[in-house]
Amino acid sequence: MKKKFMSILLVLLSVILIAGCAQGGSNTTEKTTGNKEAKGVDWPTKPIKFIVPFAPGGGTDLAARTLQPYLEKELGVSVVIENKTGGGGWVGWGDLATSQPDGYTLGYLVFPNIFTGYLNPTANRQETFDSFEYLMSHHVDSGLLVVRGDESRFSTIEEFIDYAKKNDIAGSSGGVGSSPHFAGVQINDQLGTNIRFVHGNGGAEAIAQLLGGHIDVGFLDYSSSRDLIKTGELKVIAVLGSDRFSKLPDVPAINEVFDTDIQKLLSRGIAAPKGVDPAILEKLNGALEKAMNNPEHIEKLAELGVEVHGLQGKEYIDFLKEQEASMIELKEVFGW
Amino acid sequence: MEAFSYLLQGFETALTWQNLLFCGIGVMFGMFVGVLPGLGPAAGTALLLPLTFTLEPVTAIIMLAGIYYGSMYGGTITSVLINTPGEASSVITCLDGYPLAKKGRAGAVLGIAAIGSFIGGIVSITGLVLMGPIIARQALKFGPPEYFALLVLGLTLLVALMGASLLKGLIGALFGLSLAFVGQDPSSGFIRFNFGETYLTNGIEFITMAMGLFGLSELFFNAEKSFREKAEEPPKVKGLLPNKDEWGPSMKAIGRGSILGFFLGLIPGLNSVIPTILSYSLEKKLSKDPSRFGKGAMEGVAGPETANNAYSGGALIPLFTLGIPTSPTIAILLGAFIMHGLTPGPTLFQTNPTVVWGIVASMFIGNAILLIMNWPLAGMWAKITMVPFKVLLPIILMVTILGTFSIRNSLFDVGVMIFFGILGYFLKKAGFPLAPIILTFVLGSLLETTLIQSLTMFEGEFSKFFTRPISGTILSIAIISILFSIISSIRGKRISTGDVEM
Repeated sequence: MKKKFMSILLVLLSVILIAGCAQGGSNTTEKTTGNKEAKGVDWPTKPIKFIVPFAPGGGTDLAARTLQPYLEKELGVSVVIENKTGGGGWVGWGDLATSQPDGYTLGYLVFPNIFTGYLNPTANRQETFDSFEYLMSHHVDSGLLVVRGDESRFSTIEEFIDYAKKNDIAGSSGGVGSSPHFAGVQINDQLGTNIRFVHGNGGAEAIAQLLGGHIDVGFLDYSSSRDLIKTGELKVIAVLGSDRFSKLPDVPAINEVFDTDIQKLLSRGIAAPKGVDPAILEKLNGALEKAMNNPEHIEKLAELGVEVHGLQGKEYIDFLKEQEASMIELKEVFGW
Repeated sequence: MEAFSYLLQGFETALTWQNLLFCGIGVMFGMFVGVLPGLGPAAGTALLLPLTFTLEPVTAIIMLAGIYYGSMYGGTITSVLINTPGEASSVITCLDGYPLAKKGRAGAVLGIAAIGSFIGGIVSITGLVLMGPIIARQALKFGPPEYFALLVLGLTLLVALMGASLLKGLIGALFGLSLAFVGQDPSSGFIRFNFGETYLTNGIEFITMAMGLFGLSELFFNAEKSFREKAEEPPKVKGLLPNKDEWGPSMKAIGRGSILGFFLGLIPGLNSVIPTILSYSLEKKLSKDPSRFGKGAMEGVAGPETANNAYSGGALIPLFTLGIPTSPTIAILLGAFIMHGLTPGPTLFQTNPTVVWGIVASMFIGNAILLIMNWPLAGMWAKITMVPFKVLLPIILMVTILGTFSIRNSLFDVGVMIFFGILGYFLKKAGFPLAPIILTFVLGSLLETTLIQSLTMFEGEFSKFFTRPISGTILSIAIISILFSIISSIRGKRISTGDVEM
């Protein structure tokens, strides 16, 4: 009997080990510094770790996994995704910032979560905007202003803003400083509306609360609400930002209707820790550009309801700096 | 009736050899994942998600769903055998499952849990087939105020788990509530009590804490006992079936648990602990001899286990019909749907009927496989209780540490687990019951979020909790039950809190 028992345990242990390995990937810290010989660097020669700071299966993870195979193809080595969750993404980003800048550790960034992490003084974080080497912007998720399909109080963005100026209404939020909250705060700030925020866990919870009539308006992304928009149970009254959204050509952009500067802030991109050899960065940027412009990748991304953004280098940093500035402007509203 | 012809078509899909094979692999893997402390359903599905990319969409999701409900079965095993809950929903199972196992009844407990899980699973899938779309919409009436009311009710019911001393139980409960404060404040984003540690900004990880507080402390406790006195003779395993007089109450508990779990599963965002607490306290209230609970009452395992599995089936309804995931594991399943080009939501049943009904049919099959596998296996698992402690200790210790580490590859979590293990040992020595600590911890953060959400909705007016029909009713029940307890204790009839030995 004992033998049987021990064999079961052995099976169990091996399962757990496999599990650990599958998650851990290449967990060893690389101490290679031999990559500093100017141009024509011999890189990459081994697998690259790609830190994704949210759980598998979520929006961020799905987007990262869409890019991964095409990046692998361009680099010729495997790119191992490691989901390092916690701290609103900052467990993973903290790891990224402090790992060896040898080009073998990359990370997937999500904004505005990155800003929130170091702008919120109670987080006491040492990392800042300058802790990373920004490579390429992957995509920007169109924020949508969504109401119930059978909403009778307002059916256009003008009517909505009018109503919200005179009445208190409840809006969705994925937590303080999340992109829905930030969009709503900008509307309150620039258009004088009275939106209160029901802080929750974001997308799915917001949809349930909106459908159940517990809140009046949701700041949602297209991928999670697509089906309900199609059936008319949810109605999009505006796109947050200045441009219309290709999947919903009839819906006006909010900045087009009003003279405002409201931004869709949820964007995702790729970065390395600060201090990577410029020659490696150049190679990386080239590979990323090719991978992102692969027609197959563009198509897969479209299934998630987003388009390649593709800013690189200084352009990307300027884009982020501008967003950071608009967030800092509203610091007081967030209580920072 | 239309549903039935669709369901038959679904069986056609599910019974192809390939789907059958992956359904089997899924439930089996799920069961093993559930058995390993620390690896819960969420980790299991997340782990295998990338491996399914090359499969057909139906096959992939059949397998992932199999892992999901398979691990619910598996989670019971560790709770019963080594007092270590793998997930929040099995905490309650430890209460009576572990004492029963110590008496050599592990086989019977696992047997009844397997039967209950099977019935609960089948009831909830049948519910999904018959009335899924209709009730899913009704369940949306549950907003933050209703959750809050339900959580308050859950907390009042914790009195049933307070152990010998009500005072110590209350201290434990408040301690658990205060642990829920660690992490970010939901309304202001202020980060509390993290002591500069990024790992704590989102609060303490539940599984790490549960494994330390329950599993590790029990190990320490047993180790001490075996040093001091001669090692306890491991109990002989007696049979795989409950006694004759246990069948009746157990089957009734299973029936009540199925219905309770199913309906609670429909409510998006509800914690899986609630159905188990409600079921446990319901069984205790209805029992002829409530004092048995906590010492080894069969129906104290049967009810919550069933409710737990019925809940996990019911929770698929909001996913299929509205595209709303109700738990972290379901969120990963949602990710799998999207990855395979399917969008769960109201149109899923129309646009991809073969897929949905194939998955539903596979769940009937999967549950049957689990029952067939689990019943005979129960005897084998139960024999673990017969292994001498000095052999068991290092193995469990190793598995627990590895399991904790594997959750998010973090040594910090291992430290937290050990901390709670030591803390749990001393608390137990001092006679504090551990169940209230962990349960209030789980409910606490949800309680805070929903309270703040509700008050934001109500513009700060407390009275509106009572003007909404559902939240008003539930809160009134909670208040009445507290009043009853107070009155009956004033009259000298002390509420039978029973002696919950943890």
